[in-house]
Amino acid sequence: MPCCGLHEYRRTVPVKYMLSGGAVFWSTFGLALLFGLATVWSERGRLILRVQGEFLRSLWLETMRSSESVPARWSCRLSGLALRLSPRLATMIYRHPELPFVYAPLTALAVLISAGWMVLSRL
Amino acid sequence: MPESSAISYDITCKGGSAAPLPPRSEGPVLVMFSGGSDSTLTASLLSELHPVVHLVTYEHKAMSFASKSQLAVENLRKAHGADRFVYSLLDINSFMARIFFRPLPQDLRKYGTYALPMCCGSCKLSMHVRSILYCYEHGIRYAADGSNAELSELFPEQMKPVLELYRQLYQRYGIEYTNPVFDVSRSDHQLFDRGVTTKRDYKTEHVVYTNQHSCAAGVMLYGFTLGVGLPLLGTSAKKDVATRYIADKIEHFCVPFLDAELLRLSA
Repeated sequence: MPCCGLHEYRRTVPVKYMLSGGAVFWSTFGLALLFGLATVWSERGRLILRVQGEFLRSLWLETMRSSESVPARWSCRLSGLALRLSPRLATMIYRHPELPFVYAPLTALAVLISAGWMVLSRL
Repeated sequence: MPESSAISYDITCKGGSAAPLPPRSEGPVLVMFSGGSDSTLTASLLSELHPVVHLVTYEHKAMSFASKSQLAVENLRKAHGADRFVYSLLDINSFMARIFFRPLPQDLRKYGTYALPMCCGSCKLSMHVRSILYCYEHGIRYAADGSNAELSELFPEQMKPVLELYRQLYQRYGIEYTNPVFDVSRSDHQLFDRGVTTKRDYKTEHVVYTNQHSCAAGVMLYGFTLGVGLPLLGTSAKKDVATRYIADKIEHFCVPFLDAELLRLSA
């Protein structure tokens, strides 16, 4: 989809490196969160928590509100597909990448778990 | 402050003009020295132009084994002469705290997530600030490091526009800053050819460097790039943000700090 520029953002980095890089980064982030919570009474603990809060806030804005981010480009592509179904839906997907990539999967997961729980409870 | 430095040059921060640079053959040079092949080649090349090369290695809390750079110092001394190199290991923790850690929440708001990997840019900036103080203390007018184009796409501190900002900072204090190996593709091969090292391919031989420190922050930069930058933000580095960040830190921390510190030292 040249209109979205996805072709420009293809990278040759193998997925296994991305996964291992993500594991290193987010596990350190998790450890820092635990350390910050455990030392919240100290200035250092509060600084760590503030840094993590600001980081997540910035990450959300850059991922969901910047046209350069990968989810934004995929949502642009999806909105093109959704245009045939409903222009309003296409606009919503285009403007809010969190709808197809965060809220919809979470809702689907919640529905699946609820349905599974209901089925199990009847058995 | 040593007596020699007091007569060697004026401080430009007061608005006065610096004394003219001495010829390279007469003045010492400072090399920011990690012990890796790039900074070792820089020191080797400059030892042919300057009578004395000051090799300065820096360390902070996230670094381990910084003193391993002494192994590379031994190689240089064997190849070029023991009396040509002066080695120092200096701490930059206080600079890192003031440039990077304390203002990090505000920086994340101002520069976005890329403020986090700018840990490496702040680290290098801390080294430059300490280097300028070192130059002043020892009457040195030339400084250099092993910045290399090979890593400049990923590491903010080695990007060309950022290097230009460093050069201007040194110039303000009457010091000439250069990157002699910026365009050298395999510094380890050149070191071998010059007789400094005994192995030709040691740059790619080990995951843990034999002569160089290891840095947890550097691992985190890779983690951020691979786990956040590429899969979510669609980019490995942001050259414009790195340049703005360093320019801001130079203007709001480095220059006021160095102006005050050099005036205090000269008083």
